[in-house]
Amino acid sequence: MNREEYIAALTGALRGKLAAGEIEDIVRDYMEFFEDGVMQGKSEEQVAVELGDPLEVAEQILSEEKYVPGSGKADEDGGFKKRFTRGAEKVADGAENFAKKANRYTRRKLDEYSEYRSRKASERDARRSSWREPSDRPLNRERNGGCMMFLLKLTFLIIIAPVAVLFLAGCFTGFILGVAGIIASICGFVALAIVLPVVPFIAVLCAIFGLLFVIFFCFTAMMAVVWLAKAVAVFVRDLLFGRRIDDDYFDRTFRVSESAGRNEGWHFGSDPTYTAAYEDMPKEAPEQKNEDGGEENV
Amino acid sequence: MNTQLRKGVIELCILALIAQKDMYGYDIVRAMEKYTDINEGTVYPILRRLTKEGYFATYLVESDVGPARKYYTITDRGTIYLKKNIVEWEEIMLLVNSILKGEGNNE
Repeated sequence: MNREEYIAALTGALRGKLAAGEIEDIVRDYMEFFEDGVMQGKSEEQVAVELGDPLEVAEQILSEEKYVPGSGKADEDGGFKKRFTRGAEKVADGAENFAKKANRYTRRKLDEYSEYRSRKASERDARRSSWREPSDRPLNRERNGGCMMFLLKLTFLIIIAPVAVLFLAGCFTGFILGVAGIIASICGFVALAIVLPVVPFIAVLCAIFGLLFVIFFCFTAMMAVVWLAKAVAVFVRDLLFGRRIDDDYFDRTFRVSESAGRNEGWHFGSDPTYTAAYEDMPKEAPEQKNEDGGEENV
Repeated sequence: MNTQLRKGVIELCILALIAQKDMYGYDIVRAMEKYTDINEGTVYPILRRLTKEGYFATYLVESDVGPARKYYTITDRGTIYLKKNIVEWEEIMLLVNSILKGEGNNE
């Protein structure tokens, strides 16, 4: 777009909306700008690009004219309505911006996630197809989907799951009973103190220690329940989400890790193959690992 | 950036530039370009409005090498307006900075 075309587009957009004299003035300004640009060694096309779309420029000129209609005083006493409108426009602008940003963020995250999913799926397919290929390698017992996996699932469904549920229910009942016992003993103690104001000192001490013991055992039992629940949860997770369940699984997952380095210690999920599989996950991967390790230290 | 905010800031910059010395359109655009990547098309509408509001006066200077240039110079009214705007700007800066540093939360 050269100078003539630019100016023509600009005047075309302004004609009828501004007085002829005003348009002339504006055109004069932009002509000056073009000439100065050309003097600096730019082409007319370049200057036109720098100025931006003539329709947008025209729109902006018109909005500025509307902004202060004629009088020069609008800024001091623009009136409540005008100020309110302007404020509302600003708020709307901000909200729109925020919505756009949120939209973009969500879309990016969704894209990342679908990309991650498809990558994982293709990796899994590759793994499976390579496993299905008949070969003269010795049977790899570590792969999922084999006979052992089926047996484990069957065992879990038929025996372990009901037993675990029953056990957890029992633990929970025990815990409730323990709490009830604590409350009952407190009530009893209070009642005793009211009925017999001269309870010997030793009796008081015994009662306190007894209470402490009860609390301690309840706490221990609670921890055990939590630990067991976590162990079951980890096992179920691994079973469902395709972690390798092999002969060393329980050793690896629930005992002291044999691997050196920062995975040492009591861990759930300290299996290096597991963490390696999640290393290329966008950015939640390290946090996930820490979460597993961190909870253990509590 | 928020267009309203941007417009306000550019307006303040133009006021401050012309308060320092009289300038013509292309000069102003170049002076602004040194600091930020602005759209040249936005400067002229703002100049026009400020002139209309009486903050700037203009005069033409004929030149033998280039076009006749419309110079902008600040009026008394414009000086007052600039001072008021600078005070407002500093207030806003103070507010924004203190919030960004998180001082607003240490009650």
